[in-house]
Amino acid sequence: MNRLSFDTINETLYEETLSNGLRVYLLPKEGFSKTYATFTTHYGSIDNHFQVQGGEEVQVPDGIAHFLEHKMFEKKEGDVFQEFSRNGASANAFTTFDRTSYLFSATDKLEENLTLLLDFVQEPYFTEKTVEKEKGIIEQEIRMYDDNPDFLVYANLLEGMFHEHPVRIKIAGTVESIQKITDKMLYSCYEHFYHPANMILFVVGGFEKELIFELIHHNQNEKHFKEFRPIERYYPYEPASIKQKITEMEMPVGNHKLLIGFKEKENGLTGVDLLIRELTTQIALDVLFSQSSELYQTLYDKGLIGEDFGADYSGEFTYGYSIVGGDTPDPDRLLDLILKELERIRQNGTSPEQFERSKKKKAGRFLKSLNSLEFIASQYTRFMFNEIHFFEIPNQLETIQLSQINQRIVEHFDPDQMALSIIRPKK
Amino acid sequence: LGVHSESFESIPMGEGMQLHICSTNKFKTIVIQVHLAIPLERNTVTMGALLPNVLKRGSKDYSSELKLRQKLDDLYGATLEVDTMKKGENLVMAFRMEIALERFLRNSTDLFAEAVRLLSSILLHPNKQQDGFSENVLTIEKENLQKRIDAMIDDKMRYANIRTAEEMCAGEPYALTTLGYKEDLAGITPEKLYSFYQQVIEGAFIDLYVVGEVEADAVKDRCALLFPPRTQATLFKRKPPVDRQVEQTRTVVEQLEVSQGKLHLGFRTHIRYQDEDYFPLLLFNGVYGGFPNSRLFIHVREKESLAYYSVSRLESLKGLMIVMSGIEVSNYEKAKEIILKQWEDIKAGNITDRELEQTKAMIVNQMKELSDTPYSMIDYHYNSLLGNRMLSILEYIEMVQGVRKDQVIDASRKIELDLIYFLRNREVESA
Repeated sequence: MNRLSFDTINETLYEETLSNGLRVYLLPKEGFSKTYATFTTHYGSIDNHFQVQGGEEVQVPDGIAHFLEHKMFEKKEGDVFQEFSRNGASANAFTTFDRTSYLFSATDKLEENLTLLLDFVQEPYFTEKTVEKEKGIIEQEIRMYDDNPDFLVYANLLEGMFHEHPVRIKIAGTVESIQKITDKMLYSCYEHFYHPANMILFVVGGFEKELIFELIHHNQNEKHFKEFRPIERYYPYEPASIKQKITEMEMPVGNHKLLIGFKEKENGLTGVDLLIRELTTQIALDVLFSQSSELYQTLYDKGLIGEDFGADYSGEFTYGYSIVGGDTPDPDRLLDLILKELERIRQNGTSPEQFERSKKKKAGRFLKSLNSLEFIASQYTRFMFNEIHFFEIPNQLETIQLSQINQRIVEHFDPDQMALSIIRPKK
Repeated sequence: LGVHSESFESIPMGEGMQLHICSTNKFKTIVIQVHLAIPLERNTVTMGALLPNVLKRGSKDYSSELKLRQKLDDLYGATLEVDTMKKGENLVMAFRMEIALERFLRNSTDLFAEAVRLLSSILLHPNKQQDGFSENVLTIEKENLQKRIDAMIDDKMRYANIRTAEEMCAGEPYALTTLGYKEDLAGITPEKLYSFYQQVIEGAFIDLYVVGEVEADAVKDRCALLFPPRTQATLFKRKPPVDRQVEQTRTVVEQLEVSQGKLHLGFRTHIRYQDEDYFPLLLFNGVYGGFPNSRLFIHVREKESLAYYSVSRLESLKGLMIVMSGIEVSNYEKAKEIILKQWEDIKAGNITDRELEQTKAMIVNQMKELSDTPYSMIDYHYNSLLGNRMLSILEYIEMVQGVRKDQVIDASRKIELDLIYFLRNREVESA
């Protein structure tokens, strides 16, 4: 195993790629009682059209990656939660646009729990009958999101920003789309995307690394996997422009909700380039919209925003966007003031003081994030699928110059790339 | 047992005031948290919701929130958050700060000292104008609070919880929501809020927490003079939470435009954290609906596919248990029946050894994980303080391990169903 030291943050990571292609990362954290492990496939809701070398081209119903996540917990003997509970471990899973993660956290019986995690994810067991039965549960999950205005205002914005890219589709799909899912389709997705070579195992917490490495080796060597055939993922042609300027909806909510999206014009970045784009965009958003920006305080004093107002960036290999907004009594006026400030800052740039402050803040907040084992595991995995180490952030952050931020502001906050999503209170 | 022995050293700082320090080097930040607790009462609850938000808008040293926020950023992104919480029948105003450890940064200023200074400035040196707070700041914060009250319906699960407490505990302090009430806003003047602020500073029970890489002695010195000395006479009087027997289970149905029904069941447990049978109750809640191996998960979700979530939660300071599920409106009767049938089944004495052991293992794990985040450590300690029972994590685990099946069954028989609350869609009128 490879030892990687990140001295400035006092972290040491151990990594190895096994012969079956599985990438394993261990991060021992002294003093922690619990160990948190995630087993993640590079397969999310956007991977709905694909083909393996020599195989057929497949297009699957919306929500299938998430559906598969649910069904993986089923075992011949019942559901796997029962087994984890016996070891006092809490297990869970989540599906994003790009990944599906299975996880547990435990303070005891680490070996049993880790074996259980590896085994349940690598041995699917579900039938036509149990797949049908799951539809009722997932339908209620979807209805729960359908009643959540903060989720909807976000989902509507993505639909407005993207013409064709599957990031515009809700991760869980719809009540209608999941009806089309069959056990055969689920097995087919499983076969394609759950090969160890498409997966990352990340273990962080208070454990003995040698023991854990040995266990993982042993567990994986006992299993037989077909040779990995690279997967071709097809994404439809996505124009750089936004699809629809404004999406509006009425719901029983207390206040108007306004989200403003800025869609990335160019994609295809990985590694350091992707990270730098992310860091520069986050600093730009911070300078513009955080509580320590003049704009935020002005909007707050005018009663146009509350503490829920915020901004966030998402950027992956095939798509990217920023989202800004929150609850407001007057979406038009809020938008108007934000646009004026954007115009001003695009012309004048931000100040060196504001930039330095924001960089300092980012450095401190990065340290804060290292207290969370969950955050480390999820972000590390995400960055490794994008071919860069999460712990590179402090060093890369140091390299960022004011000119990069100002350039990014001009390029990213282009009014032509802007889409709006509004939810209005229904009386 | 593999538990790291982080614990708090508690130091009295004067009447009704304590400092709790946990010195540990496993985190990369230091957390400072101040709790100001007063009795939960109708006539002060709205001011309790407003006050922390007014205080965080600035102070004598920071004439605007912009200046304050920029100072926090200069301290390497120190965070400052305020909150008003309901803990049993206490209203707790919380101020949280988190600061990075300078040894990981290119920095030589004492960030902790700066943070304490800043917190002290916010709490004790507010921006006073004439006899009260700034009129402008108060106006904005009132508007903001009103918007937050209006937005209560946005999150349906939270809304159903607020309504369940309101209906079930009508007439008791616990019925109050810590968001406060719109009709109070007009009557809250800058002077009135300021006088409330003075009462809080002189009379609230104050607990100051520090968790992280700190020298206990240095913290004591720095925090000793944070709050002015007080006298017993000005302290708020503590009252035990109200409990009452259930005469008849009530049903409340409320209609809103929703896609999913929220079925919440409110139980009186008559058992609080300090009571002897608390641990059997804790085990009952775990077997019934606390975890993914519990009855509600298995029967409501897995066997019948009625819900995505169906869980039960204890309110240990008040003595309540709330069951929450999101279901298809037409499945109301069926879901209710299954939820109640599982309770009946346990009352009848049916708990397997495996269920009990799994539940114990899950609770033990939760307890051991506590010391891995500063906030959960503080939360556990503070609940213990308010609950008048201070157990170390190891003692707590021993209590859990010692619970017998018959005790769990006894606890299940003691609790009473008080309220069934159902949030459903509007009826479609048939032609």
